[in-house]
Amino acid sequence: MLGGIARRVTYVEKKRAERRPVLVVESGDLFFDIRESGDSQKALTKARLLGRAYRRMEAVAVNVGDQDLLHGLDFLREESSKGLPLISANLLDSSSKTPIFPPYLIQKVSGVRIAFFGLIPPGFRPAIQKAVGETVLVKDPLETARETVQKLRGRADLIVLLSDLGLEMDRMISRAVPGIHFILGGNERRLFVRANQEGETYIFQSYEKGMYIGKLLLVIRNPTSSFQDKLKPDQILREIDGMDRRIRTLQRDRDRQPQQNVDQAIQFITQQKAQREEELRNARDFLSRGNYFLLTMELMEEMIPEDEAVQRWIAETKVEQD
Amino acid sequence: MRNIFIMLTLAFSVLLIYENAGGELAEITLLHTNNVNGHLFPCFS
Repeated sequence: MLGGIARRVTYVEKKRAERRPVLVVESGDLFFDIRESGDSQKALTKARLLGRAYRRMEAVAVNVGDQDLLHGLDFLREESSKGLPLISANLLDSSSKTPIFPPYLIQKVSGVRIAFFGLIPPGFRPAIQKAVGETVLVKDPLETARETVQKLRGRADLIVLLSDLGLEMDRMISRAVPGIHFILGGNERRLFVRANQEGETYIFQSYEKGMYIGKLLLVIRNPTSSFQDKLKPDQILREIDGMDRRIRTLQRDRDRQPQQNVDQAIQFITQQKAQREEELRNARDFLSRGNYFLLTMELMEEMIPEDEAVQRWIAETKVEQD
Repeated sequence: MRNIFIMLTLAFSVLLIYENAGGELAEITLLHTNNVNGHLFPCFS
């Protein structure tokens, strides 16, 4: 068995014991699964335990995903009142047209102001619509992102979107709304080995069911400038190696049988290689003076011990399997 | 007493230089999950 909430809590506590500050965040669909049918009492028991565990991990922002609404708003309001930092910028009360939960939260860490804002996808499935009735409205995510980033400019150094929208929409928002540094996404349950870059925004997801934790290390030298992937030079180097191999193969072909189009191909790849070498120099230069990040997917493997308190809570609920 | 004070000041300065050697203002770790979907004991499915 991989993952497990008790193991996740131990991992977070271990990370907290290290030198640098740790912020725990969740992008949505924490509590419920639309594919799970049957005992709603059991689902609520498990959801309450997850809320308790995320409070124990001192999560700083938990975005409301559409599936989190499966048991209505009362459950989420109860969790929020217990101190779970639920956020959503575009989940509105249908009467007042105002956000039900805080649209964003700003954390000041080591002198850097980090803003987290959350977005939920529009168009609920019937089971979710039935649970919330006509009590909520979902405002257009793109318009909300634009307005929220505008509000956060000057109030935060770093803007992080916790998104339950899915990669396609995350990409669209990155292109349309400059100023978001990272989009920590979800919805499609993807595992990202490397962050997707759109303009100056980086996007990733951390798979599903808590089997992995996405660990994003930020090294900040100038809070107002952009970031670079620490692994970018390695990636460019691999591409240059590939080009070298192709050039050598083409040269061998040419030596066997001279052809004009082979010469042209060699020339074309050589030009491309020179461009990539220039990019490599720039990437290395950026790493030596600018902000950078390192993304790793941490597998919650069995060797990580389970947190005893959480184990006890699980035993009290008498839930023995998902 | 004065010497001890100077030594402490020097040690503190060296420590600060060491801390800022990489030019970093801050190092922060974000830990992220998504789509936990109510699972306490996940398995591949």
